[in-house]
Amino acid sequence: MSGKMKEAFADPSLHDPHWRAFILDMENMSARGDWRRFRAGLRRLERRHAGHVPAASMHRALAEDAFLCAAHWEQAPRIVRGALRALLRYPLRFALYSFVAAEYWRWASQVSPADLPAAEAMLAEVREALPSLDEHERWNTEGLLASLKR
Amino acid sequence: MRWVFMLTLCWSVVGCAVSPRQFRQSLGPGPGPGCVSTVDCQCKDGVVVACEQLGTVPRPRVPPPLPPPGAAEEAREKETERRRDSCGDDYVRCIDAGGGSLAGRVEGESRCDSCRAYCMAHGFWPTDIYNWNAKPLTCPGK
Repeated sequence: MSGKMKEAFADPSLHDPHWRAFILDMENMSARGDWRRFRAGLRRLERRHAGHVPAASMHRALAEDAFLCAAHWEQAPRIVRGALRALLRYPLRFALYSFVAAEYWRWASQVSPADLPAAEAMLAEVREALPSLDEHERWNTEGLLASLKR
Repeated sequence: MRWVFMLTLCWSVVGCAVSPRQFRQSLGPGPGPGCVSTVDCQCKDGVVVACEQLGTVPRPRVPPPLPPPGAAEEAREKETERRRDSCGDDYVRCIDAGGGSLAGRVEGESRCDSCRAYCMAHGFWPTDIYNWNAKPLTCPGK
């Protein structure tokens, strides 16, 4: 497991009303099909919640949302690669890193085969870390990896 | 000179009368019992290249052992049990983290309910699930 994954800082709890408001706001914001409008919405969201929630956690959550939407909405390679680069600047916990690797692979296999080697490399990192995980997390990660074959 | 010409003519006529396949077979060992040709014999012996020449699929010599009756169902039940346990553990963490009061994907379902349903169906607890607008919703507790 890379040092970056181990260093991942924890997000505030959903019991924290400010963090909860931020998460709900983010989840309710959608502009599928209009990427510019979606990015503008994320910037507005950032301004609205700045100062109420920890900046690092908020920026990481926004980067995660942007990447997952870009991949799931099958955006162009330039957009998805940029969103992934932005997200990987933050330390991610192992489960999130694995999920992001899987989503990147799914997107690459459907939209951009040129990205498959990079996605495979991320998944290889995940597979390498399997022996170091506890039984429960290993089960979850193996299930995630198995879902990619189906 | 005349004999040589006659011999060459005779060989070429006989040679043309034999098909390339017959000619090839005449050089090698004859086909074994139950075979149409040597290549056919080799294919039946499991030589993949020979079968490829004939355009057929090689048959495995020994059929794989059949699982005991009911084994598949037993394995399925075991996997369901495993999923119930593991997804249940994550569900408890999800509730502890405050996911029980977030809306799920379906009306009347909490976030933790939706994440557990996903976990039971796919065999792992996700960090996010997607709602009907294809928007990621966090699965708390991981």
